[in-house]
Amino acid sequence: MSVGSWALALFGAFAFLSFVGALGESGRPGLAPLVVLRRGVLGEVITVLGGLLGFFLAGYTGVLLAVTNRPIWSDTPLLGVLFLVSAASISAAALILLGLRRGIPAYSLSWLERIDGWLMLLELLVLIAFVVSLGPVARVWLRAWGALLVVGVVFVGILLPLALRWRRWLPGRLTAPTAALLVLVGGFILRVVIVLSSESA
Amino acid sequence: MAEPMGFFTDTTVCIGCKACEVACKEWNQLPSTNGGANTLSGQSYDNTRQLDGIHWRHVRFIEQFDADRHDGRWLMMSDVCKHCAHASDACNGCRDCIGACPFGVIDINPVSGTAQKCTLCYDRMQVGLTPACAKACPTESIKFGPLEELRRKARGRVAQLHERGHTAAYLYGDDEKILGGLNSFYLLEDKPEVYGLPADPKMPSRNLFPASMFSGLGALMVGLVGLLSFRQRRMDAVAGRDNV
Amino acid sequence: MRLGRGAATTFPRNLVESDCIVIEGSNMAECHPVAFRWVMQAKLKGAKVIHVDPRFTRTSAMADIHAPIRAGSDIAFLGGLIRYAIEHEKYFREYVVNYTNAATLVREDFKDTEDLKGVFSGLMDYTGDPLNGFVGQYNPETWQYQREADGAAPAPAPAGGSFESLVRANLKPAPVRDPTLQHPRTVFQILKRHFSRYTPAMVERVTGCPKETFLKVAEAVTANSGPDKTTAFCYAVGWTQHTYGPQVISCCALLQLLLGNVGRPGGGVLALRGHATIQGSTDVPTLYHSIHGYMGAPSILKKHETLADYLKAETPATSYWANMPKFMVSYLKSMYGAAATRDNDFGYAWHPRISGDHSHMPMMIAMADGKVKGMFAMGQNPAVGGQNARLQRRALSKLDWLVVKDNFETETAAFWYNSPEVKGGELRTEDIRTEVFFFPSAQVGESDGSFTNTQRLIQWHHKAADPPGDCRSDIWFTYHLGKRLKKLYAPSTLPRDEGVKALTWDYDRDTPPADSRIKDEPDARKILKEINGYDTATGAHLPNFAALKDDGSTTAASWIYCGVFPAPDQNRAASQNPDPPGGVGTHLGWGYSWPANRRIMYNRASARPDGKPWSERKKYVWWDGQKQEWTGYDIPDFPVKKAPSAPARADGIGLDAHSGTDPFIMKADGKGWLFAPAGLIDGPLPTHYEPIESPVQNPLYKQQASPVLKYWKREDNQLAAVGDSRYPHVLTTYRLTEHHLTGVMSRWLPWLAELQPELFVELSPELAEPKGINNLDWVRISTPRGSTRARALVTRRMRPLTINGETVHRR
Repeated sequence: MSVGSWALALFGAFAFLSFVGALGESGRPGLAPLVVLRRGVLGEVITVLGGLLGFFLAGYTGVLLAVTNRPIWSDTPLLGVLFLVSAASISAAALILLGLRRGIPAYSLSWLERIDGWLMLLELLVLIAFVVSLGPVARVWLRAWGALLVVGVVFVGILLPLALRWRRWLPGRLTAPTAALLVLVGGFILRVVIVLSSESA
Repeated sequence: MAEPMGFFTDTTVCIGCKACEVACKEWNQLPSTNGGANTLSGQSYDNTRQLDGIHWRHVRFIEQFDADRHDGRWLMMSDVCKHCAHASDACNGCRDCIGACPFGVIDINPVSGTAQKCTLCYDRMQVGLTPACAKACPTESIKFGPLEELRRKARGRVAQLHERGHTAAYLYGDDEKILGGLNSFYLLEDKPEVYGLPADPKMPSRNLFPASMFSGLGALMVGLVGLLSFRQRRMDAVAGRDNV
Repeated sequence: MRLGRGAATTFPRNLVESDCIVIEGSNMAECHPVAFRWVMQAKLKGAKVIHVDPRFTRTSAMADIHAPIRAGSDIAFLGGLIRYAIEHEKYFREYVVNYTNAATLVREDFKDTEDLKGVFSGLMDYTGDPLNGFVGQYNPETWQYQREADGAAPAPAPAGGSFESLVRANLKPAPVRDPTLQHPRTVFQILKRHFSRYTPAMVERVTGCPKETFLKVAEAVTANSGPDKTTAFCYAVGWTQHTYGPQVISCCALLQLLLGNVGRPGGGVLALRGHATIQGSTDVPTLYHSIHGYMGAPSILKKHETLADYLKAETPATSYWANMPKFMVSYLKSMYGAAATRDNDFGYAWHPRISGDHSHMPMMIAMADGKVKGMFAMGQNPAVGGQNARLQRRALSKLDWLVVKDNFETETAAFWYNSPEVKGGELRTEDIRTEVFFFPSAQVGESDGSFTNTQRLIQWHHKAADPPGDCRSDIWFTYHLGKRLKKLYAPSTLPRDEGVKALTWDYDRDTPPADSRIKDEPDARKILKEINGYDTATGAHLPNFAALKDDGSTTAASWIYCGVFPAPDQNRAASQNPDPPGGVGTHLGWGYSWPANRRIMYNRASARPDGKPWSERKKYVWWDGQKQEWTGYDIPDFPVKKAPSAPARADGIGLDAHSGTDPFIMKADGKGWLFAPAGLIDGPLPTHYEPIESPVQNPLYKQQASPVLKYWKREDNQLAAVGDSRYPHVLTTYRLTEHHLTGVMSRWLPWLAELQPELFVELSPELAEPKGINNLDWVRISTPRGSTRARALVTRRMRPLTINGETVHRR
C-alpha cells in the first residue's frame, strides 16, 4: 500500500515544477526561460498530470481513513468521494479569496462562484448519501457531533453561502469573500467532525 | 508443522489471575507500562486496559450485578490477537496494520519502535513448546493446539455447558463466519460486545475497491462540473471582452 | 486437634475426586491459583463449587453458589450446617458411630454453653503472666471422658524399651461408650443440644447470609456426602486469623467427621498455605510452642524438669504418640550429638524452655516495652504485615539491633527513615537508636534446599545459578551465624552455655563446589540427613520413623520427616516420577509427603469398618483379605498388617490399645473427635462468639466475645467498642493474585506492579454514594489503632448485609 506515498511524492514534484514555472511568469529578469514549465506542451502536460495527481490526493485521505478500523471511517466507502468533492469546493472558495486580493476579472469571479455552487450542491448530495450509507452507525451523530455536522457543515458551510450568492443580501463587495470564507469554515468543520467523532464513537 | 495451530480460550474457567499476561511479557521481554509505575484504572481489576504493542495478552474483567445482587456474575476473559486466518503476513514497517486490524490488537512498542502483537511465541513453537501464556494458565482456560482438535473440544465443552443449563454459552470465531475464520477463538457466555469483541468484525480493507471507485466517480463529476463551467467561462469571457 | 495432626488431611490434586467443594475463609482462585486448577477440573467433571465469603471475589466468580457472610461469622455458618445435618438425619451414621467419639460419654459435671449462657464449665480468671495476653482461662478437667470405674490401670507389663513403663503408667481406663448414641451424655447428644440454636433463621441473623442461600449450601453439602460421595472444605487465613481461628477450623473438621468426609478421596479439610514452605516451617518449626515434629516445647510452666518428667507429662499411653520417647530422644541426639547420653538425660537440661507465649504479638509488645534487644526478620515484613503495624513499627525503634535478610529492602528494614511515623513526625530518625543490618538474600533458584508445601509434600529444589554480589541463601546465613556463635561461646564455662557448645553444627561441604564462587555454602543434603535421622553408630540413614529408638542409638531432628532421605543416594524429596496419565493421581513417586509418604491422612476411614471400600466410586485404601494387609492407591495410614477385626487390647499401649476400626491413630482413643476433651484451650466445642471488634451484639449468646481470647490492653492497642459509631463498618484486608503477602517479592517487579499498581479499598455503591465517594476518589480508612489512605474502588461485588436487623456495610 505505498501507492499513496508515491502519489504524494509525485504530486509534490509537479507542484514544485509549476511553482518554478510561475517564477518564470513573474517577469523577473533571468528567470523568463522557466516559463516553458507553464506554457506550451510541457506546461500543459505538467498541469494536467499535476491536476490528476491532485484529484488522487484529494480522494486518497478519505480512502485511507475508510480502510482504517475505526467506527464511521471504515463503515462506509463514501469517505473518499466526500473528501474529494469537499476539497474541490474548498479549493474554489480559496481561489475566490485569493482572486479577490489580486483583483481578477468579474467574469472569472462569477465563474468560480458558479462552479463552487455546483460543487456544494454535489457535496450536499454526497454528504446525504454518506450518512445514509453509515446505517446504524450514524446514530453516533445523534449527539453533539451530529449537531455540529448539521449546523457547521450543512448550514454554515453549504446552505448559507449558497443563499448569500443567490439573494445577494450583503453589500456587493462583501458577498463573495464572506461566502468563500464560510465554505472554508464548513470544510474544516467537516473534517473535524469526521476525524474526532470516530474517537468518541 | 503442516496443521494449523491456534488458541481456544474458554472464558468460563478463566480465574483472571493474569498469569498469561506476565508469562507473555516474561518470555517476550515486553516492557511494563511506564516502567511499572502504572495507575489504577478503576475498571474492576483491569489495569492493563487494552491489547497493544506491549500487552499481547489482556485479561478483561466484566462485572454484571443487579442492584439487589440477586443475580450477579464477574466475567473474565484473556484476550489476545485473533490470528485471522486470512491475515497478511508480511511487514514492511509501514504501521498500516495498526489501523487495519479489525480487533484493535496491534500497536507500537515504544522500546522497539515497531508495531507488535502476539506471535504465538513463534520461537517456542519452533522447538515444540506451548506458547508461554497457555503454558502458564493454571485452569487451562487458554488451550493451544491443532485447530481441528481445539474446535472439537470447544464444541464438546459448549454441549456440556448447555446440558448443565448454561444455555448462553457459545463459540466466537470457531467457524468461517467471522472473517473467514479466527485461529484464536473463544467460548463466551454473553454478547461479544460485553467482552469488548466486535459482533461482526469486518476487514476495513474491504472498503479499498469501492472507496476508490466512488472517489474516481467523484473526480469525474467534479471534472464534469469544471468542464461545463469552463465552457460557460469562455462564453462569459467573450461577452466580457465585447462589453469592454 | 480433632483429627490428630496439624496439617491438611488431603492434597489439592485430590479435589478432582470431590463431588462438592466448599471454599470458606479463603479466596482460593486468587491466592492459590495453581491449586485452584483442581477445583476447576472437578467442576468440569460436574462437581459443585461453593464459596462462602464476605466478598464476591475471583473465587466466587467461579463458584456455583456464592454465600455472602459477615467476616467473623464462620462458626455460625458451619454450626448451622452441623445442626442441619443432625436435624435432618443427613450425617453419615455408620462412620460417625465407628470412627468418631460420638458414642463416648463425657463426665457428669461437664456444662455446655447451653447451660452457662455461652461459656463452658471450668472458666476461671487468668492469673498468669500478663504478657501472655489471655483475658480468661479454662480448666478442662470437666471436659474429660467418663471412664470405666473398675478399669484401673493394669499391672505394668515387662519393660521393653527404656521408657515403656513410664508410658504405661499413663494408661487410663477405657472411656464409656453408648453405640446407640441415645445416652444424654454421649458426645452426639451434647453436640445436638449445643448446635440446636444454629437454625437457618439464626444463621441469617448472625452471618447476614440469606436463609435460602444457606439452605442451598446445606442441601448441596449433605447431598454430596455419604458412602458414594464426598465433599471437601478448603480454608486459609480467612479462618486462622481470627481470635478463635483454631475453633473455626475444628468446627469444619467436626462437620466433616459428621458427614464422613475425613480420610476419604475427595473429602477432607484442606489448609491452603499462602507462603512457600509455611507447612515446613511448622514441621521443623519456627513455632515457639512446639519443637520438631509437633512435640510440645519444654516449658517452665509445666512439670518438665527432667526428660522423664517431660515424657510423663507429654506422652499419651495410647495412640501412635506413645512412641514419643523415641522421637524425643532421637531429637535430642540430633541436637547434641555425642554429648547427649543416657546419663545426662540426652542433654535435655540444655534445651531451651519456654516461659509463656512467645508468639509474634507478645514478642512485639515486649519489644515495645523495651524488653527485647534484638531481632532477626527473615522472610517477614512486620512493618507492613503485622497486626497493629503502627505499634510494631514503633516497637522496632526500641531495639538495639535489627537484622533484616530479604530480597529487597523491606519497610521493616527502612522503618527508621521511611515509616509513616517518621514521615509524620511522630518519630525522629535521629532519636532512633536501633542499629539496622540489611543482608541481601539469594533467591530460590540460587541455592539447594527443600520446600514443604500445603499438602505436606517435601520437594527438593536445585541451585541453578550463583546469587549476585553479597546475596546469600538462608542456610548459608544461619549456618555461618551459628558457627560464629559457637566460636564465641567456646571459651565459656557457664553451665547455661553448655547447650550451645554441645550443639551439633557440622554441615560444611566435604569438597568445596567447583561451579560456584561461594565456596562455604553449607551442604543442604547434610541438613536433610540431620532431619531424616541416622544410626548414631554407623551413620546409616534411617528408612522410616518406625526405626527410631529411645536408647540414643538413633537421631532424627524431625521424626515425621524420617524416611525422606532413607539412603545417601535416595533423596526422595528430589524424586520426580509421576504416575502415568489416567492414574488415580496420588503420584507417590513425586516428592515425599510426611508422614511416611501418605497423601491422604487417616485413610483407613476410606474403608468400611470391615475393611471393604464404602463404595466402588470412593475406593481408596482397603483390606486385602488374601494377603492379609491394607492396600490401595495410597500408603495406608494404619498398621499395614492389622486386620479390621483386630480387637483393642485393654492393657496395650500405643496402637495396641486401638482396634482394627480406629482410623485416627494419633488420637488416644483412635477416634475422630467431635468433642475435644483436650488440646483446645478455648472450649471442647466450637461456639460462635463475635470478633473482638464487632458492630453488633452477639445474637446467639450473652457472651459477646471468646472468654479466653488474647488481648493486650494498652494505650497503643485500643479496640473499638461494640456499636461505636465512629467505627461502624466491617473492614477486611486481603491479598490479590498480583501481589504476594506484603508485596516484598512482587511490588518490586514491574510486570506485577503494573497489574495492581495502587492500594485500593472496595466499597459497595450503597456505602459510597451517601458519603459522596466516587470511584477512584481518595478515602481515609481508620481504626482505633491507625489509619491509611487508599483509592476507592466502588463495585457491586461488595454488598451490605443485614445483621441482627441492622445494615452492616463492609469494605
